[in-house]
Amino acid sequence: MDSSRRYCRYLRGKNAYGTTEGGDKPFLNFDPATTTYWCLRTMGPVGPDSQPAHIAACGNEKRNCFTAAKVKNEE
Amino acid sequence: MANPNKKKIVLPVAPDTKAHAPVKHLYSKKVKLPYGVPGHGLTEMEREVSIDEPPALPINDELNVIGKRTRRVDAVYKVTGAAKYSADIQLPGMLFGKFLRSPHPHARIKSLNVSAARQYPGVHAVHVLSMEPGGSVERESGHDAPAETYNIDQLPLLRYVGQPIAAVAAESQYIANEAAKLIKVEYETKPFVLELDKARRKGAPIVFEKKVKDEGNEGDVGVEAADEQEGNLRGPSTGSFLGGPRGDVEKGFAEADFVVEGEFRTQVQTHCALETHGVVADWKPDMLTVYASTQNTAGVRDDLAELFDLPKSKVRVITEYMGGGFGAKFGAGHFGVMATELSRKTGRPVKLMLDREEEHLSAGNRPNSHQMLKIGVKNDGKLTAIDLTSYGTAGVGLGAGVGRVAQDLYECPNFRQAQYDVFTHAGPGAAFRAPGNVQGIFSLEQLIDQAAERLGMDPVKYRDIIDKHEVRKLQRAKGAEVFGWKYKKPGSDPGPIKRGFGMAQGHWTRFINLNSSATVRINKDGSVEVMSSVQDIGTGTKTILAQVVAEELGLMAEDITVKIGDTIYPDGPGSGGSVTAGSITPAVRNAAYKAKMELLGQVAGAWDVEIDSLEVKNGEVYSKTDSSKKMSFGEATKKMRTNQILATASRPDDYGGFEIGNGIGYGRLGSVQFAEVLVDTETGFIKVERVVAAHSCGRPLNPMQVESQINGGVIMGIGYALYEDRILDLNTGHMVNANLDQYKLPYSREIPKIEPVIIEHYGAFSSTDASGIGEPANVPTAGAIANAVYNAIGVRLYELPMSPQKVLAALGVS
Repeated sequence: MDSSRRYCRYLRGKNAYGTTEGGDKPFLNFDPATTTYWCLRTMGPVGPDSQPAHIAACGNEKRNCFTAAKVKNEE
Repeated sequence: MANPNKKKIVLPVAPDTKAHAPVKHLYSKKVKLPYGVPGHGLTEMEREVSIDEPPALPINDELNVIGKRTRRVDAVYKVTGAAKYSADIQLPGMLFGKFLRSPHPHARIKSLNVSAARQYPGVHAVHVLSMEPGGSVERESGHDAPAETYNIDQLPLLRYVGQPIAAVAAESQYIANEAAKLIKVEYETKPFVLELDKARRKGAPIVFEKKVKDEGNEGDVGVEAADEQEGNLRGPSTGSFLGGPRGDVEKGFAEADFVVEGEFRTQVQTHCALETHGVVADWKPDMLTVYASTQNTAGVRDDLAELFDLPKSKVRVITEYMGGGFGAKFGAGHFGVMATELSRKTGRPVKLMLDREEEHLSAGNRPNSHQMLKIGVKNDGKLTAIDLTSYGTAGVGLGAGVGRVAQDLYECPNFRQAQYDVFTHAGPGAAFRAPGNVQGIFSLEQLIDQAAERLGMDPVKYRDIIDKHEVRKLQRAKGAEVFGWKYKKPGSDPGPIKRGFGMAQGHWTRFINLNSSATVRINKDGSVEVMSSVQDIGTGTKTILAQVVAEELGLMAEDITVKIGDTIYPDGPGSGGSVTAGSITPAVRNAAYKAKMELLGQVAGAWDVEIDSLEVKNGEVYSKTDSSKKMSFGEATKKMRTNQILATASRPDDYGGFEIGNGIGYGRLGSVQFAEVLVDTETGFIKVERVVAAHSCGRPLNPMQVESQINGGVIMGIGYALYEDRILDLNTGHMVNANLDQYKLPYSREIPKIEPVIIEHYGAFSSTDASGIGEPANVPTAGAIANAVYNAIGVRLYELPMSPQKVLAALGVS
């Protein structure tokens, strides 16, 4: 199973070392203290449910705005 | 010097090794590459590499184009105004967008009416940002997809001044600006908190009531995600890819002969790229085309494809020229998404460029920090313990840590850290040129200087004892020589204007983005093109790509046409983390090598000679063994069997592999800077007179551009040290200096003489062995200036920016 599928499909991140994370790229979480996250649906650091976009909270499938990643045969 | 064969770092949690297992090659070969620093024990390193890799490049002295001071290939276009930036794009029928933004730092929208705006002559569309129905609750399983319509409960809760609410698209910028004001909004304001210290207190207005559980938090590398939250406080983060706490800190302090400690504060620095964030979005039935001011064309494409449910092949992002980016121009951005929404609604292209005020408010910033740092030291200078606690606010965002310099710059057996994020009702932070490290160096390097003073040692010589990094040692030696370093007693100048000398150093991780591909095309008319989606954000990427191809094909840089910044070409890396040169240039060289070998194969066939007897150099193709067989490059290409030779290559793993996978390379990029300042003790003004900046970036591909990057890093560091400061009105939450007048950047009169010192350093990592320089150039500057100010006045400043007011307060004369 692709590890990125545990996270909402709309979560994105950028670590301090220049790499974007999320979508078809893994969440690397090299340095939690300097990694920023955003939600594609708001294009801000807050999800559409008004809570922070973050690798922890956006891995919660019960979160109101959580949207599972597409699997290949759905595309 | 970096040891590529050293043991891999062991993380606190085992990484998912399947995600970044090393590539195995069917056929490999051994090559010997330059290793070390010319003039300082340069040697060779043998590597086993794929059979497809080109031969080892010798050091720069033995090359014709790479390593030479080369004028930018686009210099004429830039200075004549022919270069077209995103803001310059004009398309037929194009509309102009304008946001309505929150005027309150914390408010709920009670009502919103867009009818007056919609009816305003010249307005074509209004789009309102909607949120999730039901808000922040956990739902039962099997929920429906988000609703397409919105009601008042779906309007965003406003948490900072400048937060986007809605936008209009109109036939002119003036009409759009006027119409945005006509959107009627009734707000219910709420208590807010702006200050870092107040936000940490019990009873402070809460930015996010935690209503969603955190799960799935380990990430792929396996570092904890620092997701504990109480009130506005989130964290701490105690580890990174460099590991977690080590040793026994209390025991380390007990073993110390003395302790140096301090409490440091740094300010919020906003992004001031000359070109603001923005796009022109053009939604057509068959293709979405976006002209973006971005550091990552491929990333913008991917974001928009995901959000609008389009195949990546139906989204094209173009960044032909780009007016600067320092980490905040990744992703489509709220402006990119909004412009696309408006273009989809209207069927017309929409330009949405932020103005300078919006840029300050909502386009990201370097978070502030409050750092408590304590270091135990033995009388022989060795460090016994380091203990760091930091708080920082990225406003409504996260990522306000202070980097890993305390963890990794100096050898110390006992270390622990706790880095906390604090939410406030302010605009979100974003990555900003060496995120965290710039803040961290300001405190670490001042304490290291304090330790040197306690030991009665010269700060440069003291660092030779505690820092075993061989390249930084060379940088200290060369930098001190150029600077004419001679340590003087702090505050010893007579008179009110006092001169001071200081130094500081830093490091930056070598990071490689493997999503870095390029195509080289040789045409029958002798012209050559290199193509990739990688963007030139103003650093000179176009020029180094031309140099690399030219070197491989025996041509000159101006012979190569560089076509980059467009996602119709192979994916290039995002330009952040100082990864661009180290990521894309090996792919480019490998593609050029493949194209060259195809050309030589065809020539060898025509001449009936062995391919390895042929050489391409100085614009000629010739036989090394038969002097009668020689022709110009153009004549050779005329003999091609087809009109074009095309070759594509991607960035392979580092030769020797990665430190922990996922592109983290062995070895840190070192940097050492020396500063000379004048401090007027009557007015408090600090003038930086001179900076000597010693840096390494692997193989310097174009020394002139490396110097340019160093100049930019130092100038930005001076702004951070002395001038830049986001000031929020504590009564309204508004930024009072959201412009480039009161938000002070260094202008020409404040820019000192800057003398770059480049250490040519070979690590045998790739076919070009280049690394980046953007971040390392910015890391030590504020620390060096702070140490120089102390040297001048004999009183240490613990808070940035070091304004006249703070200098006078420190001197006790305010």
